Amino acid sequence: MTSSLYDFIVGFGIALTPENLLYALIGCLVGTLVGVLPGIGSAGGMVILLPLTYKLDPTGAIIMLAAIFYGSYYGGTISTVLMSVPGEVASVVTMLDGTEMARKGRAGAALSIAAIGSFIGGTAAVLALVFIAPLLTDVALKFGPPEFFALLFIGLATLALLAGDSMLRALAMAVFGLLLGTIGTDPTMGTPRFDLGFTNLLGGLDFVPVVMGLFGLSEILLAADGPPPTLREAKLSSLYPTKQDMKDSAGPIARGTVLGFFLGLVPGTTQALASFISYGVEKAVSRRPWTFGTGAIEGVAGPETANNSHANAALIPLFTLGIPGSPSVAILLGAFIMNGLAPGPLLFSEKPEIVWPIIASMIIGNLMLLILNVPLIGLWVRILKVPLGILNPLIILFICLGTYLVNNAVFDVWVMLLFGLIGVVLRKLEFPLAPIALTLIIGPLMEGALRQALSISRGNVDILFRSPLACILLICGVIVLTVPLWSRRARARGQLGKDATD
Amino acid sequence: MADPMDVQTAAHPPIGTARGLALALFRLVALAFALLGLWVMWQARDLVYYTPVGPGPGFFPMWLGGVLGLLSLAILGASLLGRSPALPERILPERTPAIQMGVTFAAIAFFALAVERAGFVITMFLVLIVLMLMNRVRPLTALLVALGGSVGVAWVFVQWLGVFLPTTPFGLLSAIGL
Amino acid sequence: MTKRTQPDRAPGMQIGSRRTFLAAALTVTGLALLAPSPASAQAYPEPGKRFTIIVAGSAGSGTDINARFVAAAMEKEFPGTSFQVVNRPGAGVQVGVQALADAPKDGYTFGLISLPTAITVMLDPSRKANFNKESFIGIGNFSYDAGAIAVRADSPYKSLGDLIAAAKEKPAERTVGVVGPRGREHLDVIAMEQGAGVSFTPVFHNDSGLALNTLLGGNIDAVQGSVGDFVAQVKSGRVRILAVFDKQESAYAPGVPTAESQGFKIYSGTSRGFAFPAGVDPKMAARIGETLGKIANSPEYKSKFAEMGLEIRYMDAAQYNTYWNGEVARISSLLSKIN
Repeated sequence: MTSSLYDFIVGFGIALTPENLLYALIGCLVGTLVGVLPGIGSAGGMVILLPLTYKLDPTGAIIMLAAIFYGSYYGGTISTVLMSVPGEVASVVTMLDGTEMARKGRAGAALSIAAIGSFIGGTAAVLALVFIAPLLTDVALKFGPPEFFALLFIGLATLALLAGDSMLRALAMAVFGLLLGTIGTDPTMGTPRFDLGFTNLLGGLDFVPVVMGLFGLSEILLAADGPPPTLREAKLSSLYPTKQDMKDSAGPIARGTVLGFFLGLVPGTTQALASFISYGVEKAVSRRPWTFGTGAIEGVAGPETANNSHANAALIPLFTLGIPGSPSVAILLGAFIMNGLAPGPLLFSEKPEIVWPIIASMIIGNLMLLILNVPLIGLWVRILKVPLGILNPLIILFICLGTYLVNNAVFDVWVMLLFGLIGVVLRKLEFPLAPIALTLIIGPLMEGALRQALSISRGNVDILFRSPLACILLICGVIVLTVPLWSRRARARGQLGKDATD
Repeated sequence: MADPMDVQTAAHPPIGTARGLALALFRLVALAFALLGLWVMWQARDLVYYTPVGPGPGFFPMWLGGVLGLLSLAILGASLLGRSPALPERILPERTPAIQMGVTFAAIAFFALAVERAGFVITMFLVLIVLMLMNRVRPLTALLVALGGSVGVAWVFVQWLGVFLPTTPFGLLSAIGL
Repeated sequence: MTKRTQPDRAPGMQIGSRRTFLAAALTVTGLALLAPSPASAQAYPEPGKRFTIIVAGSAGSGTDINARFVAAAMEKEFPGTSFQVVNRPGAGVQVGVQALADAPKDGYTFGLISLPTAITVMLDPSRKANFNKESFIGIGNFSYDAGAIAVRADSPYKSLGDLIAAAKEKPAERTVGVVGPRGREHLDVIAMEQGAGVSFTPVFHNDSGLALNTLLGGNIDAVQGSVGDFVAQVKSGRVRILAVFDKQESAYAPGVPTAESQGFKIYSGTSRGFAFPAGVDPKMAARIGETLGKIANSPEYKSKFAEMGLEIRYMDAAQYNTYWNGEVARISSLLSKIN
């Protein structure tokens, strides 16, 4: 361990050279921008910028790309809070309370808390990568298909906790999301399902067009109607959080860090899952669950911390096992390989002069993002001053561009448009949208895990209860699922069942 | 199954036509989801339901379709029994916002249709200019923003970031590499 | 001029024809508008022109890495031109390969083809693929990642024979992680089953990384993949490759015997070659094909290939064609026996 500490310090020295600082800074700025621009998410942004990194030396290239990766989760909050358009799939759940805070003139507080939480979550995960990564390798390996299934069951169970008084509609929307997740090719027989004759659907529905349509485009379409959003009229009370805000956020940030971190260690989970579960956890433990959905700062602090913690922790299986845990990390893996670095346990001993500076730069990068984000909040909030007549067409520009660039396919723009229309109808009629996003993310993973598990046991359902870990996770899921039955506190009206911005 | 359009039979009578319309639409959407569930079950009959190694391709669609159908019918039933959400008084947008929504929708559809034929720059320029003029942005401002959003954005993405964007046909903008 | 824009339409390409027609119409009008256009094969490629390389995979994927490498090298070979990689992922490789089949036939768009992945799509009727081998002019193969099967380092199976024997003893009890149903890896497992008269239970994963995680966690007995999937894990001592499904040992897995040497005549691997859409002037295709060979055989890039873990296996157009036909026959025969 001491030798790795030594290497880490040497790495810091390399990361602090002016050019590497510059790469990290550019990466952070671009990442923030990628996060802010609706439609262009972290994966999209990295795909777009991957070719650019060809021209750099390997260390610089990966420092920059990694900065884009974790930086995008800082930026995602900004558009979510200020424009009510999710900048990232992982920020969808932040809409529930983030936009409400903005509406009350507390956009600044929401953004600061998100930035602080992101910093804490992100940095803690990187520090864990430095000091205890080898101990954590086995965590990833403990998650076979049955354990992964049990973990996803908890994710799905949070839905029930959050559904509150519109349980029926929340559940219907959740099932709708699960059904959307079955579109594509079935995971074990390769049978096309519900492809409606479109080749593009054989690989399943992409999250980006669906989320951008449901949450982004529908917001803009609805903005044309009804009164101008109150959030534009509200005076910004203060750019920065109050002492009470800080006190309220301490718990969510701590829990978000731990939760995001552990989920990040499990290959196959995504940042969006981490933020959804974090929101559920915060609501479950809150002493004032009824404030959720009306601008509770805990509902911003927890998920925004969790997604950054997840993003950085997801690099641990990449570095220690060579296994990319999420789609964005897979792109990073591609960048490593292109630069002649095969991530894996030997990378630390074979190329310490490249790995450690990259890791060190991630700490520097998170600090840069904190510094960039908190003082710049005043600047970001000025987005609100851009006339809607100009801002909305520009948002449409980026939604179209981002949706198109995911697969360079016009088909995805049509999907986005369709879901924009669905979003408008469902919002108007008080059907909640958040459950659709949650289950669309979880559904395909869960079906895959279940069918893997049953293939291994050749159809024997016992396998799901095979290991203590799986049982513990399943019990946790059942507890979460039944919280509304035994806890009066949690029964107090839920918010996932309520519309994201209503 | 009660006719969802038959608002008069609802447990709580419509308060003004707009409220009644909202309720009718709500029930119509619930019915649509129920029908979707049925359709999914119908489609899932053609898929393998169960295999020796667990659920087949049709297992989840069959159940999910059924559950969606039941939930939607429950929502419909609850609504007919007088338990509907507080719907907005005015469900249909007024004329101007309706036109604006329509134009926005059409503009994106135009983008989808035209971008691979007319290239990104021209398509996006037209989309932006139409949307901004519709929003009563001053023509000069609109022109500048539209130019920035089309030529500017394309230039940054193509020239600076090396991203592929559909090029303008006939080499019209080949001089600036777009 | 119009001759080139009228492709010899391959059978089964009817749906693409509208877009093809439009592209042709646009090209014709474009050429008519742009005064004299000396796009003859002699002046090909014209300086200042931009090539498009269609890749049926997302940025950062294995195919993408190959294509971007070739794109950068081609730019050096043809100064003044640029080579733009356009990622068209979706439905496995189907969306991208379809896009290549439908691409303009002016000689400035070609694409990367992964075999046998593209073939399994063509041969699967449920996918309704609108292209076949005749939709493309293969110009040559670039790299090849030989198939391999691996177990955990502490596994009792020391050779492919051990694993097969275990499968014979308890039919369908040995689990093998593969990528997608009827994907190349799955077909390799089927080939073993058919060859040795045994049965395995395939466990499907969305990508090879997650299959490795399942293997390392001790949930499955083996993973069928490619040598490249396992190199890092072998070096770290977590995984043992039982066999390489190639005619010779792999440079990246020295000492690992081939399946053939263990008595199983199975040859499989993922190849990355390049092709133009059918209808392109063959001289143009040949010109790019030659250059591909030059790049693949150039000593200049050798260390770079090794660094990236690429096994270069250049085949010229004729060899590539033979290999492609062989793969079609091999896959058809495998598929015919499972249905």
